[in-house]
Amino acid sequence: MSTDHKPETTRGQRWAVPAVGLAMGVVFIAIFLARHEPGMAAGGFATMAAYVLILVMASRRSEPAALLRGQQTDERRRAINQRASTFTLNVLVLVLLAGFVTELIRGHSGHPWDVLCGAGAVTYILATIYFSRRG
Amino acid sequence: MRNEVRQLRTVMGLSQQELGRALGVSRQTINAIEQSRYDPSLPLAIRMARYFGKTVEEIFHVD
Repeated sequence: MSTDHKPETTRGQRWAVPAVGLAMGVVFIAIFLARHEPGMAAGGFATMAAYVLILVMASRRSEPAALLRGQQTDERRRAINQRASTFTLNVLVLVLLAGFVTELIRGHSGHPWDVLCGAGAVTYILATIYFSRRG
Repeated sequence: MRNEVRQLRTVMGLSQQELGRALGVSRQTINAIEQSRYDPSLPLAIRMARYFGKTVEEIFHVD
């Protein structure tokens, strides 16, 4: 019964999220130093570094931390990620529509909410067509 | 969907971690399957059945 399977997450995938997190911290440093705000630069990097450190340390024991780190090692974890993504998308759609309608009620043009709503709608329609054709 | 995974695993003296490693899934996924909180895909169900030397129907039951 030697059906051992290789892990579905490579070393590169495991470190992608921490690397992006630290890169964002460096971006914060560059932006805030350019704006002559060293306190915000340090704070921005420290926040991102702390988030990455917590993710890396907790991901061995905590499944949510492992998922946030991008370790979708099996079908159930991928399903969890898909459901969380869908839920997040639904909340974002409600926020965008609320922002758009609120701006219209205030007598404004609805910008930039209109562009975001349009981009979301077009993306959703195209994605639905694409994935329905793929079966 | 009910299943016999916990019973078969216990008979073989395997931990959830060991079974998960053998099937290429996490310990938490084995735990979720055993508690019927997650129904595995057909490919995973077939891999499990082959591992235990059973048929899928002998392991998984629809209520």
